[in-house]
Amino acid sequence: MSVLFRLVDAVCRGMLRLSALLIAAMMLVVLADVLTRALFRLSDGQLDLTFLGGIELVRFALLFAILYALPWSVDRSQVVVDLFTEHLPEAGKTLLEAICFTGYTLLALGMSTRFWSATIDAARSGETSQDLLVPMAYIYAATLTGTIMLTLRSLLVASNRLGKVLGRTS
Amino acid sequence: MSTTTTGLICIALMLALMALRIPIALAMAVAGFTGFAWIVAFDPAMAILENAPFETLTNYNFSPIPMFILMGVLASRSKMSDQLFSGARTLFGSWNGGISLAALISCGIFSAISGSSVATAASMSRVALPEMRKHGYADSLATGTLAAGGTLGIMIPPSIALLLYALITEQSVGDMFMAGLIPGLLGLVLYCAAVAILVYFRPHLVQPGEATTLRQKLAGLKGLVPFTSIFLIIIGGIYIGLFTPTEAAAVGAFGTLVIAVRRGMRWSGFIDALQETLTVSAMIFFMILGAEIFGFFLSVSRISFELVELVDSLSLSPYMVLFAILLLFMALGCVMDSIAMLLLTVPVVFPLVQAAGFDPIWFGVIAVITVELGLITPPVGMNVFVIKAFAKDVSIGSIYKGVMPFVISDLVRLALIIAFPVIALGLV
Repeated sequence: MSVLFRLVDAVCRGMLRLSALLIAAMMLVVLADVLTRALFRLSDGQLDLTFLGGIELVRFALLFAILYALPWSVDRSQVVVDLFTEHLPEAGKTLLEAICFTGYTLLALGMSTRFWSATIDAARSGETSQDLLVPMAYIYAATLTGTIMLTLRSLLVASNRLGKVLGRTS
Repeated sequence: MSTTTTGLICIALMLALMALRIPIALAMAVAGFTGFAWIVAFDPAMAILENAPFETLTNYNFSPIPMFILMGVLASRSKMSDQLFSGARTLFGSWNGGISLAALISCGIFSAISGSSVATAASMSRVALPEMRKHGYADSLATGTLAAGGTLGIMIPPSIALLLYALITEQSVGDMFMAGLIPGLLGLVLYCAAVAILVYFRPHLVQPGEATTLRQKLAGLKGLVPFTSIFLIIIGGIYIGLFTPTEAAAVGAFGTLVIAVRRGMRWSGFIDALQETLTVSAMIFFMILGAEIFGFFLSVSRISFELVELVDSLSLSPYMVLFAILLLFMALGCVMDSIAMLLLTVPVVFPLVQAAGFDPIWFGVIAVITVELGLITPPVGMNVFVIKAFAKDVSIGSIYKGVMPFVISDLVRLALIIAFPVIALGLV
């Protein structure tokens, strides 16, 4: 189990790095869009370096930047109301965490099943994105990768917390 | 069972899950999914699990969020707060209570760039708290100033809270930012007034600072230029229609990156900043996804409509409705994160606000100020705990005592904006 946990963690960390680069790319695409548009205006249309698909690039960069960051962040980026459980024993809190990550596992599993269907449907229909004409099957498949990793990591975190409650892991 | 009853049961389920330490995002998603499946059917509820994440994360309007967060993280990591505070201190440090004023002004400028109350409180505490204590400022005033100063970021644009409110209620983000500008600056002015009044009546709270020459003041002013320039480019660009909020966020993030690089940030520091940005963004997007799923459920439960009808039948005046909503916000603000609270409550109360005939942009400003109060009021008061981490020997009670003048000035600001909506709507 610990080997699998380490492997999933390594993949999720890699996805987080990719997400980081996507955020930087998103910023640069928007800047390029602003600059080329400004040049076009300033040169009265003589210098046209504007490009099609900037908005779509930003939309997909946002999708993958956030989605690929979720598996690594599932146990790090949560807001909880701890006013009522502040004085609960540590084991009780860990048990509640195990329940919480089981909930995330089920939620992400539900998403994965839907994105699996969406990938197959898009592959059959040959649907593409509006501006860049990217096959939507690829987009859904990449999204599916993110939700599958979210499922796996949530499951492993839940089992780790449960193991702690049962005294099997430290 | 009526859809409204089902809706109420699911809302109770969500609150129970939250009380049981289940993350707010998951509690909203579970209650929303369960409620939708109960009222409509299981298969359409499963479809939400595809639509909500895909539609939300490919929504261009949400793209400024990570870039504004990146801007704040870059500002924090490159220790820009040092330069800001040093500049402001040279300008105001010799005044009575001047170091407090300098800290508040630095907080105002820093928070405009960082957009995060907690990051502002933490960054400014690191530099300003030791200075105030070294100069014999009372612990309550020093810590209260910084806890309250941090909250300025939630209103002075670009603000994530205002942006989210605009997206939830389908208002223009640019208009929302413009509406937040004067109330945000008014908050800063009233905080400074609170310090001035306090030290006038209780002079023992502070010690006089060192006088500075005109040359030193000019040099101090120079230190404020980079940050105010970025702020002016973002806000000015949106105001004159040069940028969309996404473009303003990209330009602002890039500008802050240039300053950070000039202050010594290297590639590894940039990658770390991007990863920190993602951790914070993931936290917000987890909640947005939960709120989206919950929103699907709210729309089929008809709870908002029933609420409007109920209030209508009670023949309450619009201002009574408003005060009831603000009281609810204040109560929830005591136990809940500000962004979570906005995502959770605004979809429910917004139809009430519209039915009462209030301007949605104006209400957004009021709502965000009320939410902001929760950051410095007991029992949670997130900023108070941030300051406590930097001043371990100061009691929480002393910090809360220190923030009280600022809470009063926030209430004054709230009253002024309710009485004179033009304060918020003047630039829209």
